Amino acid sequence: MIILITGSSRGIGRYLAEHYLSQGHIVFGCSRSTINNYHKNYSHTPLDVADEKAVKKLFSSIRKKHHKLDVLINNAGIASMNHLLLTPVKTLEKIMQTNFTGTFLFCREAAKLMKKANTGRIVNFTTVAKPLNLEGEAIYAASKAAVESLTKISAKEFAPLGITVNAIGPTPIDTDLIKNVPEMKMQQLIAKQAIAKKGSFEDVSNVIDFYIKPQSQFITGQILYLGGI
Amino acid sequence: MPLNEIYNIVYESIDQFNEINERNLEKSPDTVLFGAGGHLESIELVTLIIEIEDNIDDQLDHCISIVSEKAMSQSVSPFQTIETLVNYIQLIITEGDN
Repeated sequence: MIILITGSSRGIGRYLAEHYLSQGHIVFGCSRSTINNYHKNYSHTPLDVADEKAVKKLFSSIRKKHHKLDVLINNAGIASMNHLLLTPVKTLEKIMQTNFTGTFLFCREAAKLMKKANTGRIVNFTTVAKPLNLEGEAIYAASKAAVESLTKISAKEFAPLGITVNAIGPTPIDTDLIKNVPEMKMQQLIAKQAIAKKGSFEDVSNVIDFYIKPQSQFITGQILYLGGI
Repeated sequence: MPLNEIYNIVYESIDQFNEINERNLEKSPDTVLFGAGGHLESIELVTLIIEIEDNIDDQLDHCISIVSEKAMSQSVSPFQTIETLVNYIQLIITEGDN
């Protein structure tokens, strides 16, 4: 399969890229940073996911090379923990640009390419911070609430095109995204899960594997949270 | 960018559109595409626009977005007829603002 993963230079994105490369798939990745190409079936494009021109160029290059895209994994995301009263507008704009505008742009351009083959899988990323309404994460959770609505509505709009759109909501996983969250806060959050522990990269890939397998062509518009929320 | 070159690409895209969708959209500047008296449903217009954008990218190396705020704010909709669409495509390629 031809798979595109955003935010693939590190963390969950990097793990997913390696996971699908190890299965023999062709993976396109992107992130703000440049990385050394580490696999013959991997191509990396440095870009800002909210830069429409750059995103269109990336999809153009995939189309010219492979004429199709089977899977899009919208993993790129940023977070910022802060009390609402201490949150600058710039922070809000940055989070919405990366988490929502980026997800929207990639969904739109992917659907154009997938439409030609009348099949495709899109997986977006949300967070348990959204259903848990976590204090200090108003902007981050709001950006992911937008991603959830985008997921559910695009699932309906893209269904006639043979494209499914689903989302995964991971629990905290040890990545750069949560490295600045105090341990006590983290424990309070994890205690709200049915299974009170941090998640792993494998927990995430397990859900994505399910969403993108051929037998899941009837699964769309779903939000799956890890850990029992 | 000469208009006839854009017409050729749009007509080629219409050929592809007609073949894929088993339609017979007429290749004429006056053909009404969308809106009152239009021959296309919204999803069909999207399909045609995607074909045109891809063909322009392939043949002219211009990665354009035909559907944009600019398109929506034109006094005459670019999607009214083939002629208005071709004129609009020429405008955005010339301005290079995509």
